[in-house]
Amino acid sequence: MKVLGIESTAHTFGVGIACDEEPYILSNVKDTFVPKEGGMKPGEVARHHSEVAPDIVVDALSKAGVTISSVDGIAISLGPGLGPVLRVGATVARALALKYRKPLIPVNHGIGHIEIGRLTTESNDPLILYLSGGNTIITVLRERRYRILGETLDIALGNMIDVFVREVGLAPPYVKAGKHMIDVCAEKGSELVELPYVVKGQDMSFSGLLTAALRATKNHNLNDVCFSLREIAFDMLIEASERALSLTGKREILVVGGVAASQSLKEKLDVLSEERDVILKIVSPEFAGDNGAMIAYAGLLLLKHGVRINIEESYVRPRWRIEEVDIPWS
Amino acid sequence: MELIAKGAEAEIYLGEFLGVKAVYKRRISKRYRNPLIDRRINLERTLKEAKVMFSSIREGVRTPALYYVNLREYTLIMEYVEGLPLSKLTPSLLLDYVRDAGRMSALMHRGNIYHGDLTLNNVIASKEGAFIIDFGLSGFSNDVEDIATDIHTMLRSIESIFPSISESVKDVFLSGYKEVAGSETEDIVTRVKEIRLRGRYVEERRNKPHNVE
Ligand SMILES: Nc1ncnc2c1ncn2[C@@H]1O[C@H](COP(=O)(O)OP(=O)(O)OP(=O)(O)O)[C@@H](O)[C@H]1O
Ligand SMILES: Nc1ncnc2c1ncn2[C@@H]1O[C@H](COP(=O)(O)OP(=O)(O)O)[C@@H](O)[C@H]1O
Ligand SMILES: [Mg+2]
Ligand SMILES: [Mg+2]
Repeated sequence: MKVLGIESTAHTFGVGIACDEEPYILSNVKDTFVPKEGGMKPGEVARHHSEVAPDIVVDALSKAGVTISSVDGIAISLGPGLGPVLRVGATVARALALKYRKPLIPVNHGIGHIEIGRLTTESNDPLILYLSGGNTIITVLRERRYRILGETLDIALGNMIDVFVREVGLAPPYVKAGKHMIDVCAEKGSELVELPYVVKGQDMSFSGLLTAALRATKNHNLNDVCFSLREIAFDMLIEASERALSLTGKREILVVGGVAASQSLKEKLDVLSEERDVILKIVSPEFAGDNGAMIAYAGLLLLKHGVRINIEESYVRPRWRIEEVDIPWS
Repeated sequence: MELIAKGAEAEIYLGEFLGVKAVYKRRISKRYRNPLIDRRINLERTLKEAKVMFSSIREGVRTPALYYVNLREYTLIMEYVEGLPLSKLTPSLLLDYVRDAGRMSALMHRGNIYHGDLTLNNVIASKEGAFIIDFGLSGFSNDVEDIATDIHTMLRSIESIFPSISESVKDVFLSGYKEVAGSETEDIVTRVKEIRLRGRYVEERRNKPHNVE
């Protein structure tokens, strides 16, 4: 069985092809929108995606060496995400499904991040950290749902460090040669500046930290503030994760989403997993950020369990939460 | 002394203090944590826990009696409460204790105390009723946000530990809470709903800068 998957929830338009036997992922092609300056405007992103879409679909098929008529389904990330951007991917997916008479498979973007992580790291019943631009979630799969054990009470960790480096003039670009600008800046700092550390059970709050750090740049060395911000934010996350480990007794940690590419986070997680005697698995950079392969693979799992959606009902779902999704393969 | 539990941040030993059975709760250093942050947190939380345990008892909340504080070793010595955490109870025993946990939480909140880590793990089912423990993340506040966050963490812990019966368990917790807090419960529950939507994926949050490889 083979599924073509389309990712189109935010900055990246991606197409991947997955199959149900080794090597599972046959191709993974993407193109990421880069604004000249400032943040993303949904209209601009949507335009970018609709321009690159045809070539990416063709490229993904040819890299996988399959024809569209030989795939068994078209998977589409219907949410969560930006409405106008979601609609670009959905339109392409519906058209392919109609024209080639393939089932259309609705995939939640977060489930895609998690399932590609489980597949490519071969993890077994892990505590999952889903760390991306929009999410900071600690979750486990239990009785057919991803149950949220902890999450941010306000902004996501990834978003917080992005905004900080942008506001102090270090970005964009946010990541250079695989390294986030917060790390580049923090490596030159060493002095710990007092900033709020807020953990509530397994939940974290980062907005007060961001505000305080921005204020601290006025009378402290910027490198020290970067260092302190990173230390505190990561320590909060690791503490919340440790609480979740102790709550669930899981023996494995799986990290997915764009922030999984962080080397400095890995160093702390390595120590945690040693201390708690658990196995640490981190999704590889290729599958950490948004990509089409993750949608294709999650779509494959869904199709195997008979999940599909009528084209007339395939509305985009900008606020679709991972815990709303029934997981029949658990 | 015998190690009886290893929490997320502390080791719990059962021993004696002045001839009575006592729990020694010792916060341990975390190697992953920056050493300065680590010391600051362990000190702050040990102190906070001691202070709030006193206040909590004064509000009539079932809380272990505090015997001694050793700040140098980040250790609290307190009354031993015999019983299982609510997270380990069988569903048939659970409901009465959950209702009582609701009452105790409301008493605590009435005294302007928030817990900061209110979960089924941090309530012990003893012969006398539900005991609230683990005040390291607590504080004093009458802000509905802090109080609602407690309720949110409790409801979520119920959902994750007893998924198949979570709706009825949550209802029982809230009805116990309401017995003490009365009509104020409505406002708090409204805020809990808000918190849940906020931490969740909001569309605007996607509208963030893009990062470049
Ligand atoms: N090397 C790195 N170190 C730290 N953070 C990184 C690194 N590379 C990417 N990130 C972060 O990952 C985030 C983007 O991740 P991803 O593409 O998975 O998020 P998203 O798809 O925009 O959000 P979501 O999955 O919540 O919808 C950004 O916050 C970015 O700064
Ligand atoms: N006073 C006490 N009497 C009996 N058991 C206790 C007491 N305090 C803690 N425990 C046990 O130890 C566990 C961890 O203690 P807790 O104070 O919650 O530490 P942590 O902050 O590490 O979670 C509790 O879940 C409970 O089983
Ligand atoms: Mg993503
Ligand atoms: Mg505890």
